[in-house]
Amino acid sequence: MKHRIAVAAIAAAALVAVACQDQDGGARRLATEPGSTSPEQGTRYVTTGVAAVVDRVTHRLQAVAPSSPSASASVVAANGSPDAVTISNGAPGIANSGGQRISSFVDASSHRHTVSMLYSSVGGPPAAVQHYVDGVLVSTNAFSWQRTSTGWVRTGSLLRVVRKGTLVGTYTTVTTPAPVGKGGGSKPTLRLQGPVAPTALQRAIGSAAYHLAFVFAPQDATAQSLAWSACSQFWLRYAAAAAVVVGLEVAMADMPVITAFILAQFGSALSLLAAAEDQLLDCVLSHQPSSTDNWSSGMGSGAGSGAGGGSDGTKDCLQGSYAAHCTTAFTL
Amino acid sequence: MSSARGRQTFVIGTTLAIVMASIALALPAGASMRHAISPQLPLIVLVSGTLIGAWQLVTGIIGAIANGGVRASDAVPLSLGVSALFMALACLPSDRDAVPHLYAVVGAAIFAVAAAVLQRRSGVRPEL
Repeated sequence: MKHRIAVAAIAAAALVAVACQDQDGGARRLATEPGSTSPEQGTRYVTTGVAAVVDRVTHRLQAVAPSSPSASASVVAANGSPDAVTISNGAPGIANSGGQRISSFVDASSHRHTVSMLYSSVGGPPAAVQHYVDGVLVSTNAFSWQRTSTGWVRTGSLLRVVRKGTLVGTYTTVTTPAPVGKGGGSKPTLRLQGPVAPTALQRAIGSAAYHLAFVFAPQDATAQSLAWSACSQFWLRYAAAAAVVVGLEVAMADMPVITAFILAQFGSALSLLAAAEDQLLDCVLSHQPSSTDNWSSGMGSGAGSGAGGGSDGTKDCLQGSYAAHCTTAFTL
Repeated sequence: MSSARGRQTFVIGTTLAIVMASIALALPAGASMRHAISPQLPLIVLVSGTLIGAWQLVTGIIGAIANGGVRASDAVPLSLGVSALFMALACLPSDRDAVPHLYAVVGAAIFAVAAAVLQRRSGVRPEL
């Protein structure tokens, strides 16, 4: 028994050590934040971005410098991190088929953010993401992905910033592989802080720590709002509330006399359990991926009867459109 | 019916009733009822939990003082009182989270289980 505990402690310490080593940064890390190198050894990527805002007079897009005072805050903010994005196999947010996934949270200012991820019929990372604040669409983001042996690399993105249903700015990125040893000319290079040569053992341990980090210690808002952990807090509350009920139940069973007060406390525990169950069910229902049929019906009348994610009626939604038939389901 | 069998029947019957009610609320047919009662649940827990918690705590303290020390029979209401107060605390509204707070619910569970253990160790058995 002692040996098992010792082995488990050593294994846990090794995982923690690797995970902490990953936090130091560098290309070898396997953090939950977007990295700038692909999982494949030696591959570097260069991402270029172009920001544009809609001219109020001509109503046409005009390219702006990232620091231009005429650019909206959202566009400039997006321009601040032109990194490539790599997503590994099995990461949260990866779908097996077409559909949509909705996550929501309330920020410190009591504004409710809803993020709707739209997936193409082949699955993979989301093809488009819609961001709503208090039920109002504020931006859409369309992505193009390239499959690699270990995941996906984002090859392009188009961010559309919308205010009151009107486009106010865009930010477009293009990511291309750069040969090793060449910085990509005048294009902004990405963070490359160490040699990319992990051993097989390092990669295996790092991968295990990476997936454990996703489960137990999500490090950014994306990780916290995706995967099973989205409802884990609600589930834990429900389990704890059930433990309260069971504890009181057993105590009541052993009591010589069951008073009205203990019955009232039992009723309170049942109410707490019901409240926790209500929150858990709401969370689970809001995170259920829609089926193909639900996708078509959920995207308004323009969806038609085509297959999910690939029909003519929803193709523009996957390309980041903010048209009414792409957003009506969330703004009503 | 023996007391042991009576306790067993009580626990099993109550558990089954709770499970059935929980499943009924999770079904589509129970969705309307769930949405109708859910806004009132935190208020019920907050008010009744505070009252019962205070009552149990005072009862336990009085019993401990009267007996010149905390016995198992006095610790039961103390644990139940703390558990009830934790339940009420879990349902206090906050700016960041509108759902029951996890740590408070866990605290309520710990003290409820402790109360059950203390009740069993006190040696007093019901006559059901």
